[in-house]
Amino acid sequence: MNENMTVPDPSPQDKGEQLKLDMTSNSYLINQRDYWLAQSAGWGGLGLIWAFSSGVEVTESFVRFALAKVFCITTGFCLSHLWRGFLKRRAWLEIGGVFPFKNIFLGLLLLSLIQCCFLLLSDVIFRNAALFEDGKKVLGFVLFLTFLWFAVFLIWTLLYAMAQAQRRAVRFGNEKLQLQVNVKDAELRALQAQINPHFFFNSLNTIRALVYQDPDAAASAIGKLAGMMRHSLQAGQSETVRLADEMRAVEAYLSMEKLRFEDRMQVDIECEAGIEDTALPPMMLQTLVENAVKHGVERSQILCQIKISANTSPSGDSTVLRVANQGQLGLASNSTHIGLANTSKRLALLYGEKASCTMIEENGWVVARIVLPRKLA
Amino acid sequence: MKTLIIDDERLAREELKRLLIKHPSVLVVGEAANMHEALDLIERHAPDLIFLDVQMPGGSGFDLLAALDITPTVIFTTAYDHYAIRAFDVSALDYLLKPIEPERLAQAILKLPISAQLELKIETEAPHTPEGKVFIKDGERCWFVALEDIVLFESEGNYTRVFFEQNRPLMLRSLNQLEAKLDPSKFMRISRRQIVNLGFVENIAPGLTGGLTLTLPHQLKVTMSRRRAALFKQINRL
Repeated sequence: MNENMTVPDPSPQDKGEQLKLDMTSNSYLINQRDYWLAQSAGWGGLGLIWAFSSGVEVTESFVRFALAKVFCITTGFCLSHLWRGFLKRRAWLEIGGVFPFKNIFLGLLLLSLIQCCFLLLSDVIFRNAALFEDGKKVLGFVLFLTFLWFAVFLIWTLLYAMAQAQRRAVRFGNEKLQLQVNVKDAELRALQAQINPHFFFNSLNTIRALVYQDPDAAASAIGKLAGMMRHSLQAGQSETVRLADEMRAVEAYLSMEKLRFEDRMQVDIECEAGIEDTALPPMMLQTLVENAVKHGVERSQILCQIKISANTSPSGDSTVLRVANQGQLGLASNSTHIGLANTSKRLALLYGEKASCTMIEENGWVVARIVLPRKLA
Repeated sequence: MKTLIIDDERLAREELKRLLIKHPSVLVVGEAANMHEALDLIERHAPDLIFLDVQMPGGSGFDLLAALDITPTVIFTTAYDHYAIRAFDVSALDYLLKPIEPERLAQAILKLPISAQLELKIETEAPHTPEGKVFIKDGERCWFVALEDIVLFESEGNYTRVFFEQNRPLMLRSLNQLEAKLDPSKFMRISRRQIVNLGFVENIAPGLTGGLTLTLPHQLKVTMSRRRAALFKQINRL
């Protein structure tokens, strides 16, 4: 008797909304299925108990009686289903407002009277109106049966209301969770999409120096900075970006930093062909590369190498991004750890357990490694 | 005014030099790309003014200042370090945000002590000693204190605790190193562990072991050793 009363909004805002709606429509189907299972099991069980309540002996009258019972269970099944539709339309079981005891009582009474009529009808059809043989007892029978079925429909309604309340509680919990997750994700996205102000102002300073020394280099640097800005602005709006686009922004970023650090920095990028379309959270690679520059190059007085690679994993079902810089992990600040934790959280939100983000130190290199499944969770 | 530019980025130094062309009172005598080079140049040129980048590899601008005994006038340059700038009393030091605005630079140069600006014409004998300042970096906090505001130096192993106003930061310098740099007419070594600024002594009373007990501001009491007290009395003819 579970179901979902909300109809999914047919106009999704963006991919994130789409993802969430898919989840709700999925649970809508599950709730529908649960309702039909519970409905069938309930009425089937009642039918079985009733059928065998008067003993089993294969005689003609038993078969006729059983047929009448099957008929009544079927009408009960149908009536309760119609009653559910009615309850939903009138929203009598929804929270808020006064609980309409009187309306529900009258409804149940009407239901049991109709069911009683079906019962008498079945008696006429299958048992040659055996009930009507004794004219004096008919009224008593009708009253008794009406009361009995009133009880049956009342129990049905109570169970249905309980299931509804349970479902509502679960949905409320889920929505709260989903909301928290969305807020967190938006925060993380906004954080990562920000252009590092330190980098930005230093770049402007570099460009101003270049304006006098090498106007061509200055012009090209402005183009690179604009490209980066554009990528980071777009990052705030979409759930994922193509690896190729992110790579281009990273390259623009690194060529800006190369202007600043000159021969203190050397970059080596290697990107496997054919994985350009891999989806990744925007600015994720960029954040790692910025980290590498901040903790590698900025702290080093001599040459610091940075190696970036994107490859297919040995198993073939995911993409492995690697950002390595010469240096030590111990020097990484708190902010790096927070950044790394944020990256892990974003990955978990998008891909579940299949994605990972780790940072290790090996042989004088600090290596950040991200594993991305080829498909979104 | 002999000036050093200290910044790890070549283009940033070039840019500042270009801006400084318009200020003939500022004579750039050297450039350094890291703390090590900077210390060398400061020792060699004894500059009056340094433009100092906050963030550098191998030690920040603050680390550099903390390594100097007595600092020249400093103008910090930084792209975006408001946290670092806020870490100490901003009024004590000027700072410029990169890219530097020419007007802002002109203001900063105007604000420099007049003696420093005139120095181009009149070389003074010892420009730092009377109004010398010392930069102290203790953990995350920094101070830029005039020597005349310091009440007491107290030795703590390789470090020295510096008492001024309500602050008691530690600086990485031995008492002997400090004593050699301080003006003996103003600062006196009163014991193995302490140097006192005589200008702050409020009261002098005979101590128990033949020494003298000095009362300083903030209820500070220090004891002058018997040997030093004898010397002190002799000098002052008490």
